[in-house]
Amino acid sequence: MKLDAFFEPRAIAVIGASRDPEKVGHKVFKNILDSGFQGNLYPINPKATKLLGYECFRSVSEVPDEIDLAVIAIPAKIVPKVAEECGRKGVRGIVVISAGFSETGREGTLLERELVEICRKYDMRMQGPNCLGIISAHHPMNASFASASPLPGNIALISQSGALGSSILNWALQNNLGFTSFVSLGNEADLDAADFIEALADDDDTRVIGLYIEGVKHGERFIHVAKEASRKKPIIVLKAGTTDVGIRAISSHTGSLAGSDTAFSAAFEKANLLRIETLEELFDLVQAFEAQPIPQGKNVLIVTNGGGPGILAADACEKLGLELPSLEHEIMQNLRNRLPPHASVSNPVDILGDADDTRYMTALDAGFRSKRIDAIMVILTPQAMTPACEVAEAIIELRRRYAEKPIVTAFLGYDNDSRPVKKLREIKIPNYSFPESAAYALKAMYDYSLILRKPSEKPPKRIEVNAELVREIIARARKDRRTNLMIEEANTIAKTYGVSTPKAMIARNRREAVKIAESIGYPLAMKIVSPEIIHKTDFGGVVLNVKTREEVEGNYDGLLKKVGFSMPQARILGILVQQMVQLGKEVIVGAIRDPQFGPLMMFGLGGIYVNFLRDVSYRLCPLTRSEARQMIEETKAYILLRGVRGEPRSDIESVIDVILRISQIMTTHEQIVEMEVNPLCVYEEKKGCLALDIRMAISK
Amino acid sequence: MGKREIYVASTEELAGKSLVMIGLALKARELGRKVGYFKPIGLGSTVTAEGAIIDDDVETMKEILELEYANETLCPITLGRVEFLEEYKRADMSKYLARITESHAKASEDKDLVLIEGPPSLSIGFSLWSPVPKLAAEFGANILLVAWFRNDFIVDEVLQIQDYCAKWDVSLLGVILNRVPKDRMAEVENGIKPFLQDRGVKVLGVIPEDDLLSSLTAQEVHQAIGGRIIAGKDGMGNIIRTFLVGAMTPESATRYFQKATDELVITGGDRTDIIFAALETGASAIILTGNLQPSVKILPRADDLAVPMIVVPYDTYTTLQLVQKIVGRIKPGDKRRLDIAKEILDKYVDWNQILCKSSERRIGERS
Repeated sequence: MKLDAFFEPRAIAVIGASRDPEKVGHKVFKNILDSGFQGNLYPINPKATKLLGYECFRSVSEVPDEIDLAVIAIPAKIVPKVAEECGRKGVRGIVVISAGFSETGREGTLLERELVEICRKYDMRMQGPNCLGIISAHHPMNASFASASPLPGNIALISQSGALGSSILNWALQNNLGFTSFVSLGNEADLDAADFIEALADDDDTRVIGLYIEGVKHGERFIHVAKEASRKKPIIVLKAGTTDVGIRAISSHTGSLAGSDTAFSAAFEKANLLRIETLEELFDLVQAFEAQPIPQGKNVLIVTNGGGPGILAADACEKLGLELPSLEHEIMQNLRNRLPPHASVSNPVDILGDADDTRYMTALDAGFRSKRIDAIMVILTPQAMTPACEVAEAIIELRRRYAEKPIVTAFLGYDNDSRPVKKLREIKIPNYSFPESAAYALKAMYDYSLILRKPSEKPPKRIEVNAELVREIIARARKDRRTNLMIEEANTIAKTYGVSTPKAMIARNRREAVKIAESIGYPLAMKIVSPEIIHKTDFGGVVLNVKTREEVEGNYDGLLKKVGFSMPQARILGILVQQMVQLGKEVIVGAIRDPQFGPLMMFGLGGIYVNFLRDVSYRLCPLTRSEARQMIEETKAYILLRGVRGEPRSDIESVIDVILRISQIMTTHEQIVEMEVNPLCVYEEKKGCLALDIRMAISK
Repeated sequence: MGKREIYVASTEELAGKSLVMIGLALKARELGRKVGYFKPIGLGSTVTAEGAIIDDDVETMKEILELEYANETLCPITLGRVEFLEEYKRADMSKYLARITESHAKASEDKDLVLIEGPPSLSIGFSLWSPVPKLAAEFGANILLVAWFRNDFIVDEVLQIQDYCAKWDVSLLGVILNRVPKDRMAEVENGIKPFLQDRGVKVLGVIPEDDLLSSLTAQEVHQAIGGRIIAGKDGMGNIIRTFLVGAMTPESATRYFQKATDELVITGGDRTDIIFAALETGASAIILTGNLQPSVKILPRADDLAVPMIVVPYDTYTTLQLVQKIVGRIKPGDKRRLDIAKEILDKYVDWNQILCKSSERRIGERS
């Protein structure tokens, strides 16, 4: 296992192992001891000779043994010195619990950098500093100052917040939820979330990884590692800071630029992570994945002893995109024979208020045997004659008999300490307080089944282009200190990459306008060109369908006058005289460069309403052809492109091409920070599409 | 070589007269010339403790050229910027004219080259019977016109000035077209320059709009508005060309700053999100208003990136007003701008022709 020095150390030194039970060093030492750690344990404390029956050493260098892991809980200032000793001693990993590093400002940052350099020098890895520690429940080892040691189980938890981590551990203990490991990341000066995900992906005991983060250190590596790991086990991510206020709070908490939530969503999508919004959902999902098999599809059978809750569950499933098919005729017939006459044998199967464990057994067995069903939800409401414990045992029996389909329960009104729920918990059947949470868990499991079945696809081969020409255009603009490219430049770049644009040139006077008009041919569109005017229509800067020489002349003056009136301070570079093209469906394709994750592509409904409708989808570059297709399919624009009310289907393939070309532009030319084709006019199938207006901005 | 006198006049304020004056002065000194300076009519910009008004340009040129004359010698008449007529309307103008002539003689004594600075526009001085061409004729100086190339209409203005000078029997040495929009440089070189030459006006320079000269450094901003530098001291030399106020959402801040060049970001000390966005998108400096110290976690990043962070007591609006006031002035001790001025002259102006060629018709040699 990667990072085995952290998860499976043979010998641990606790530096700063104090005799004072209030000190963190003492607590860590005692936790390791109490967790039943089987390896060699060495308290390092120059002022003591013995601690809890263990001989103390003055420093790590005096320990007559090889040390895998050193846990450091001493004042920040002396941590580098001690780390140096660890390095010399050949310690493979250190967990720096001490606070007082980059989270406290300038001096702490320098101290932290020194620490990182020492680690690099000795090829020693570091967790933290400023962290709660690490727990490896199977090893067993609790090298943290968390107040409780978790039970062994199959969940791994990685948290950027130590406080949140320890709360989750306590909660889990109360609810009999078991862990393989818990990692508090701290300042992530060396090891970060991606490193631990990578290690835990290969840990056979870990069935699901829960992740709490506020940001990531290295965007690209995070995506790469998480994507690989997601093929092996589900990763559930709770990312804080989804609102402006939250993002602001993250900046002050982590002391870094908080990434845009849109980019994070796209990153999680690319890495195949299951994103959740609340802590409650985190608990719900880790339980669902901890021991259950992954469903093969989205067909759910609901078995209930109460009509109302059954309907609520059915609604919840339907809303989440799950399906409730009827059972096979034969199975239904069988149920009909064995259940009371007024029981409902369609899905949800209502086995009535007086149902006993046998009736549950009958209905559930039918669900397990049905080829139409992928997952089962059991609802139980407490009624006078309901033998909840026996029902739980029946479910356990069925779980043993049928291993392939997941089963979740909603024993309504039973708390986690009740006997039936405890019984279910023992063999890790997740029970939810409400049918909606149970449906949500099944939906997440279905989503993960899709992730597992996703064919691995590489981004398409890059088309051969004259990238040098584009680099020249960008260099020229930078030399002139322009960050917005002029329309002619943007058009040239688009054309270079095979994005079609209408014929167009900028006229700087009326005579030129006429000359250009005659060379392109009528009808024409005329648009004002000014670095200050981005949304031309808003300022009356666009005239369409210009048909004669006289109209060209008239409109040339007219446009200047109009814009001069509405935006007198704008610098006018000329008037774009553009071939008037046939109208098609208008969509927008854009991209921005996210500082953390790189180019982020955007697709949506185009034209002047885009900023108001927000019918858009996002993906991170480089895109595969399926990702480009999904971007389109996720929006309402897709419905229009498919054609409504007998309209012909639009050339969606050509839009995919444009998205992929822009993805290539953005990945090739790092100086382009933002671009937008709006509108991209899409024509009928096989007739392609045209980029009517292109904006591009480059970095300084 | 005889004494050469160049009367530098401009079409309007901020046309770039000082830039040309300073550039020529530095060039001429490099050539070993003894350079004098004279400004017959100054415009008051500073009031001294004694109540006298002083033209800052005079102070600047005096220092650059290390001249040891009294201010009254270099600039015998200084007019108030708003009101001046009351003082002069009943005065005996011949006395003033005599004072100008006298001072000019003193200031130009023993000099190879005298740079005479005109008022911001050619009309100033008319009410005092001392318009620019008249004085030029008086001093035997050539008029070099510096014009702000806003648009093609500047051609009309230059031709009008040429015509006006001809009435005083003075011809233009030539014109320097300054602050030409970058995307029109080629057009001005190839179209407008020959057009003016055909009409008998020599175009002695075509200078693009230069933001280096009008830019500031973080140091200058700090000198002008004060405040505490709490991080990024190594970046005090960073160039600032734009001022941005950071009051938007963190997500739009990143996109907004990404496209700005050499920006000074002004924001509240409590806006950690905006500060990080500014740091990561390469701001030149950050001013934190309202005397609010930011989170200490930010400081090391600012140090690393050498982005100065200055905490000031003012609110954001006042801060913006203050920094806008300091743009675009060249001060004698400002080596950076002096070097830029010289560079601009080298690159875009035929200074050799202005300083050396005597083929021009000298004033007094009537044709």
